Amino acid sequence: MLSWLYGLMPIPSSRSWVLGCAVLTALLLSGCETTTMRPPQVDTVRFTPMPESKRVIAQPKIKYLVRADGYEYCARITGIPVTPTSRPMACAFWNVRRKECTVVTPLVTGYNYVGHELRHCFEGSFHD
Amino acid sequence: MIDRPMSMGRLPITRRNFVTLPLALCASAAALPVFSQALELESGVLRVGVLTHYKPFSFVDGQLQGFDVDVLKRLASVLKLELKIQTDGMTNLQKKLSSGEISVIANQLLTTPENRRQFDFVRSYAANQLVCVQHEDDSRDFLSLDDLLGKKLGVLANTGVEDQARGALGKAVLAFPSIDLAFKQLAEKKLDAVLEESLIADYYIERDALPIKVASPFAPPLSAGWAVRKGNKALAQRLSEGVQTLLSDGSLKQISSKWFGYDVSRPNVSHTTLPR
Repeated sequence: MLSWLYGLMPIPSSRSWVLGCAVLTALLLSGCETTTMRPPQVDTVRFTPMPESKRVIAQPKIKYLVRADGYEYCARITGIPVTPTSRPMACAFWNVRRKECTVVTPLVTGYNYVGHELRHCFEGSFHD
Repeated sequence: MIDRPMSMGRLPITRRNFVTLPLALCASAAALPVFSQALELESGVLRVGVLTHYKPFSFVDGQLQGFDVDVLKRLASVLKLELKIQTDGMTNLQKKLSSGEISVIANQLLTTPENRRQFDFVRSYAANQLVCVQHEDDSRDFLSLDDLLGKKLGVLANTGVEDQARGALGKAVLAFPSIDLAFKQLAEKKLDAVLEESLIADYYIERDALPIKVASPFAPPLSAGWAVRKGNKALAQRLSEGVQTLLSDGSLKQISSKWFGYDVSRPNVSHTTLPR
């Protein structure tokens, strides 16, 4: 399984198993991280956007705030706590009367989070 | 099918009966008030209590009116019930609910653990949360009390919000006996922001056409609903079904637009949560 490594790097046989195990462990761990960071189911499927007539706000004015306290703020306004195992990655709030919507993320984010919240700006609470 | 009455004398007293019989008797005794309330509803009358001074939800201004009152009237119409409404303070309403004088407190009571021990709740129909209210010309982003350091903040006096704001901002917090006074000062740009529940803010904005806006949320949506006596799940269920009808037939949206200018039955916040 790790023979390609041996081909690339001449390693003394006494240390090869130790290094091999270390590399394997690193690969497994990175795989775990990829698994746990998979976006929610709602973000992995295609969807048909609501027609304008049925949206909560047909054409909202959107503001995007990137905050150092993004996790904490989203936790505070949604009631979803920051725990050792999970945390809100993004959130949005909207004002129907003023046709305005604000997306909030922490300093580092992803396309799926921003896209998910953007959909909320148009369609409101579509997955609750 | 039971074809003859069972007398206690014929029931052998086993160890199990010794425990279960008193429990069963207690349970049936506890069910009596519930049964009587269900009967009251079946008789076509719903006895309700609402707060006397709770704008915009229930208040007397010439006559009893308010958002909750309109919802209540529509619900009674849908369920074909006659309403008998009493107005009072919360302490008296709770006493009347306990004694069976009323069956429901038809204001949005918070579903705190303490209230859950005392009441069962009807399905909520309005999303409400603590928000920062700003002048409509103001594009600053106040998302936390830290953001409001050095700013003039208006709050309702003698509330938990005042306590928390004072703890963080000290003398920059101005407490008002009535929140509409704070909104007026905000409209005149004498304050930087006001912290208040979104529905109360939206009501005054709609009613007085104030040049202010609901900006960022400061706390999660409040969990609330009408309260019935603890254990009266049949009544809570029937009223919840009625609320669901109002949500689906569009009448709640209509009532909501009258008081707040938009449909308040859905929350105005969302989130994406992921495992770390």
